[in-house]
Amino acid sequence: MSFFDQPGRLTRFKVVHAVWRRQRMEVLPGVAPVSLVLARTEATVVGVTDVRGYPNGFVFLLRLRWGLVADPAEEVPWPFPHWGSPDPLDGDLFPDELLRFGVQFADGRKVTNMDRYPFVPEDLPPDQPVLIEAGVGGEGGRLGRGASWDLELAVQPLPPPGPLAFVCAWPGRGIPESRVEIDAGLILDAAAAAVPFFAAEAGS
Amino acid sequence: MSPMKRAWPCPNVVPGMAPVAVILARTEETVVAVTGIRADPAGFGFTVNLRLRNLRPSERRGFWPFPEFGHHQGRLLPDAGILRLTIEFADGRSVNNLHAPTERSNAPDAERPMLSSGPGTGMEATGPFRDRWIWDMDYRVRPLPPPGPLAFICVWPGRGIPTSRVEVDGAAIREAANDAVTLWLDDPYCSEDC
Repeated sequence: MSFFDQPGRLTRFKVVHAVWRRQRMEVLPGVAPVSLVLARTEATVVGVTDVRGYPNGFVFLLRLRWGLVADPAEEVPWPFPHWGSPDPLDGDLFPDELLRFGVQFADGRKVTNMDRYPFVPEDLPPDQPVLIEAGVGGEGGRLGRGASWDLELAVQPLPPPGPLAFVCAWPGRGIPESRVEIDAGLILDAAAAAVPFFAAEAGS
Repeated sequence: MSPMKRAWPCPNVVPGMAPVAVILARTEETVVAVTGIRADPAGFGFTVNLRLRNLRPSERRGFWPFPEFGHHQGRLLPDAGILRLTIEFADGRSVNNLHAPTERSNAPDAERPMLSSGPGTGMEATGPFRDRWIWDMDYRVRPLPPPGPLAFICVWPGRGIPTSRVEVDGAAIREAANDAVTLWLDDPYCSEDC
């Protein structure tokens, strides 16, 4: 069984709302000393940096790098799915050109970008993690002979203590399922260090 | 190679992280914070987090305190409205966002650190937060600081913030730079031969 088995079609769903936006407005996060190369081939790198802990989750920067784009006129498409509806693939397979990315908590709970946030199964348990595009969009594109995209992502809730895995696979770029684990305590410590920007808003 | 021809921060590096998150200045209505720090052998990057509240609608329209971008909406920024940011190394070298040699300078001066900014990310404040102004601006400094205290200094008269200073450990940033990973020996991101 693959980490990235495609979820079944959503027939009964609900829309979940991230607390991330409000936390970003109100809370100065703690920063975790995390810098990872999650996968690397001759022509592609997937990295993770800028991990910040909030009271109800964590945020990080996913760094995607192309070492060579053969066609100088080729635009590099955005490699992350945009879920504009609960069933955009209409039963088709998740395209190999898209990066598969996810995180897994020490207790086995996991979330991937093949899930269709904000559309989730109607019976999704409240403690099930969700993966959210946290930024206003990716930064990057073609540059020189290569290309890059940076994407800010958020996961809520916080992970439990123990190993926290970042996992990716990218068939279209020759990257098999790749997994790097960190100590979730780094993120929990960062979250514990988070403080409200305005003291009067503590606990609001 | 001229600094003009190099993308920076260089996409060819996954930076090391020196965890920093500090409030640089705070009033009842304004917070200036610094988070990061992303370090690589060429320098370091950080984010200035601005959180303003209790703004009148007229204040929110066209609000822009970053002088390094010069004009905004066709107007020069008034001095009092400017957020002045200075980075000071332990050996006394400093750079600020009013008179910064940037990566667009033709001849980098070894005696003066270089500072550049952007991109930045704002959030539309709506609902109960519609009196807010929120912006996270990325900055980059070259070269790496020497060991010793690295100071972030700001002053923002228009928001009632006097000269405010916080220091972080320059040695920790240098250690984080050692953790940075260069991706390809033949940097594919240089826009010209290098």
